[in-house]
Parts: sequence; C-alpha cells; structure tokens
Amino acid sequence: MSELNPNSLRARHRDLEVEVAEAPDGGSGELRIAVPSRHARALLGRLYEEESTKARRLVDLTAIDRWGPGPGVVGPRFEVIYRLESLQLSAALRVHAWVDEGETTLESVTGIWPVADWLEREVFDLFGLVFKGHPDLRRLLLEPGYVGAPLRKDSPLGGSRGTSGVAGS
Amino acid sequence: MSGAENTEEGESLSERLGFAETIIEFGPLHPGVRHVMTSVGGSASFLVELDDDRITGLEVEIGLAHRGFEKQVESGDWAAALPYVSRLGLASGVLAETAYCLAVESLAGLALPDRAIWLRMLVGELARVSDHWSRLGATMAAIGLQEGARVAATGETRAARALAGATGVGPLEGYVKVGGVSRGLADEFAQGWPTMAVRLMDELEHFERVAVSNPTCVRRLRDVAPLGVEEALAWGVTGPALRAAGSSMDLRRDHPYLAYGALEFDVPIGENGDGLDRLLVIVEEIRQSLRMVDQCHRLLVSLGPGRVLSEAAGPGEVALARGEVVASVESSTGELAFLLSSDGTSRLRRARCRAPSFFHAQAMPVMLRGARLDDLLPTAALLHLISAEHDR
Repeated sequence: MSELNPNSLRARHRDLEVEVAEAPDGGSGELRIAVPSRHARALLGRLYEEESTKARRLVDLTAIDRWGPGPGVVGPRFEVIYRLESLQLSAALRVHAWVDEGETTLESVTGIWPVADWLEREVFDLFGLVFKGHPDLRRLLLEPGYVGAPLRKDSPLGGSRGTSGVAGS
Repeated sequence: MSGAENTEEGESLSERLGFAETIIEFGPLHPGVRHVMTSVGGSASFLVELDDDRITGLEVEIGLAHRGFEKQVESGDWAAALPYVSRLGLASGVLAETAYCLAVESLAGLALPDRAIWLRMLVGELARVSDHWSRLGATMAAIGLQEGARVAATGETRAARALAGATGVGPLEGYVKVGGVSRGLADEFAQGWPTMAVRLMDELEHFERVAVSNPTCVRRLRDVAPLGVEEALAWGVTGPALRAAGSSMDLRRDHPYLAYGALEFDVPIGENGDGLDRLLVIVEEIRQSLRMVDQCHRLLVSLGPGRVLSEAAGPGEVALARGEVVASVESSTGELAFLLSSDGTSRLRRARCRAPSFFHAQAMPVMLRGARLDDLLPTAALLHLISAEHDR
C-alpha cells in the first residue's frame, strides 16, 4: 500500500545515517527504516512534517531487546520501534532506532505525537530505556518501587529484583 | 444540575463555599465482574478531581491487572502463547487470536484453507456483535435506562449463544489456531443461523425503539465527552470511537485481511464524536456485522464440510522465518495488532500487542475535561475498556 519511494527517502535523510528497506513488508505494508538512536528524533520530526511522508499518526511504539545467551549481542542491544502511518498517502513506515547498551537514552517524541506519553512510559517501565524531554516519565504498569526491567532478556521470567540495574525506578 | 456556571465570574462553587477541590477515586473493581467491568473499566482506577460535579482533572491508573503476558509469550514456544492471547477479551478473544495467528502465519509462510478464512470472519463478527451489545448494556445501565440495559443483555446472550454454537467451544477455549480454526461450522449453527439472525435483528430494532429513540438517552449522551478527528488521531483512538468522530478508518475495508475485501458492508461514521454518535455507530455496526455473518454463513454452507486447519501447522512442524511482522485486525474496540520478532527459533524474540483499550484509557482525560462526573461511566462504557488489553 505504500507509495513511498525508498530511494528518495534514503537520499533525503542520508545525513541521519538511515538504512531504508528495498520494499515494504508483504503483510503489513510497512516500509522499514533503521536509524541510530541519536538521530531518531530528528528523523521522526521530518517524517511527521514533510509533505512526502506526512506521518501524522503514531500507531505504536515499542522496543526489542537483542541480548541473548551465548555470543551475546552483535551490534546494538536495543531497538525502539515507531510504527507510523500517513492517512493522506495511505502509507506506513516502521522506524527502528538502534540503541547501544551504553546509552539507553532517547529523545522523547511526545512533542510530535501526544499518544507517545504512555507508550514511552511503558517502554521505560518494561525495558528501562529513558526518554529525555518526556513530561512525566514514571512507571506505568508496575508499582513505583519495583526495581528492574522485566522485558529485558536478562530478567528471568519469575521476576528479578535489581539485576538489570535500571535507574530511576 | 450543576450550579457552577451561575456563580460569579471566575469563581467556582468550591471557591465560593470555601472548600478545597474534591478528589475521589473510582475503582478498581475485579476484572472478572463482567458488567461492572464494562461500566467502569474493571481493574482500571480513576482518580477524579472535581469542582462541584465538574471534572477538572482525571488520572486513569492502569497496571492493576498486569499479567506480564508479553514476557510469558517470549519465554515459551509460540504455540503456548495462544491461551494468553485468547484472554485479551471474552467474546472478542477470537479477534485477538486472529491477529496473533495471522502474524505467526506470516512468519511461517503458512497458507490458510478457504473455510478457515471465512470461519474466522464469521466468528469475529459474531464476537463483535456480542461485545457491542455488552457495551450498549453497560452504557444503558450507566445512564439509568433499565429497559435498554435489559434488551442489550438479551441481545448479548443471543449473540454469545450464536458464537458458542458456531465455534462449538466456549469462550477462551482457543477456537482460532495457527493454520486455521479448530473445527468446521457446526451443523446446528449452519441450519439454525437464519432463525438466530432474525431474532438478533429483532433485538436490535427493539433496542432502537426503547433506547436510541428515547429522548432521555439522546439528552443524556449528546455532547458528552466529545472528541474530534484530529484529537482522536493524536491520541491513537481507533475503532467505533474514531469513526464516531467522523473518520471512516476501518481496517476491514482499508487494508482487508482474511477475505474482508469480498464482503459487502458499510462503515458507519458520526459527526460530533460525542457519546450519542458513539452509541449510534455501535448500533449500526451490529447491523453491519450481522450482514457479514450472513454472507459468511451462506458461503460456508455452499462450500460444505472440508479442511479447516492447514496440514503441518503444529508447534513442531512450523518453522518461523527471521525478522519482524505486524498483523492488525479491526477488533470490536479498535485496531489490535501484534508485532512479532523472530530469530528463526520457536521462541519469539518479541511479541508486542498493540491493544486499543490502552490508547482509549490514555485519551479519557482529554475527552472528559470539563465534563460532569455523571459522564464518566457512560464514556468508559462506550469505550469499553478491557483490562486485559491495557495491561501487558
């Protein structure tokens, strides 16, 4: 369903070190764009503003932890995923922001999409990633005194207290 | 009822009387209590700041029914996830199952037998009818229209019976499976549906007479908790609440999954995005869903019995490809999607559920700013917050 041109997206956002998929996903029709987390906010702002993308709708925001037993993570540990949609263009984008384990802070997108408020709080709560500029970043689902980030892969299923070393809980 | 507007300029009632603003807590209640659940959001808790009976601030507290289900799903086999997914709703569990199964099937490159596609639509639409009746009932109870609540309860029971008849299993028993559905259309349903359809339609018309055209209902819901299209989109509101605001977004028509492209149906939309429009959209959606069930029933009867589950769709037989997929369905509440990330093993790296109630709960303070306390319950009822959906 996407009318977006991967080549023009690649050229337009070259300065933000984007990697754009060749074609949209078969099932969802979402075109995948990967970007380092330090450029994520800038890219998302452009995708919202620019006439060629008009991503006015933030459909969902979540994260993936790539950590695993064995050789460990190859490349950055986390990905924060922004699912965007342009109603006018009837096109969908999926931005994957790579987050290195050492710098788990991203810029908040609540200023662009109000709906990001709870979504970022949820990722903060369950993955321990921090969103700078969020108006009210605190736990959403877990109790305020909880220590840990349960959706991290090094948090065991039964629950662990303090193994992830998440600050700010 | 409120005297707040009549006070001197800039002075609220509480100021005039020398009281501090009132803060009251609504809920939480046990999520298992069904009708109570639909009227006040079950395990959600509302912290309401009031000036006289006007809402000046609202905080929706979720997380009280947090199951950690995404973690559970990511800790086992993809097949072991289904019971958790079923419990995202009672009747609407089949809609959540459909979204999850579509995502897994997409990772596995699994094709569905024709009958399974039509059966999923048939049970999905019946589930929507049942859910819609449940929100109508809760709304009627919240505004004190007992006759309407009674008719809605009958409608819901009939729809739930039809759903159980079509699936042959109870709710939460996992009718939808990866690769298809667990059984074909029950004979009794195949023969009995035309009669059931007439009864369900009668119930809807009865409801329109006693509730929709009742002046009390109109007065009580008009202009309540209005939400415009722009605001609805900014807060991620979807489903009937978004369509009531005037957007025609409906995944069944915009991005037809299963075989929705082959079905005839209308997408009703409202104008003002207020409580009354939400009610009207929900009522019309019941009619449209019944139309769709009719079409699915007709086609399934003409196909006759046959395979409803793909061969080699068991946990040991399906290999998932690496990568991410997203599958979205139009649930009775709104856009319900699963984002699955796979490393190519039978254990999913990530199973993310985008559930509409989460977004609706977040939008409630925007909708209810300046509303009366009395408006909280009907608004929650029409949004139909499902606790399993806003928790993870």
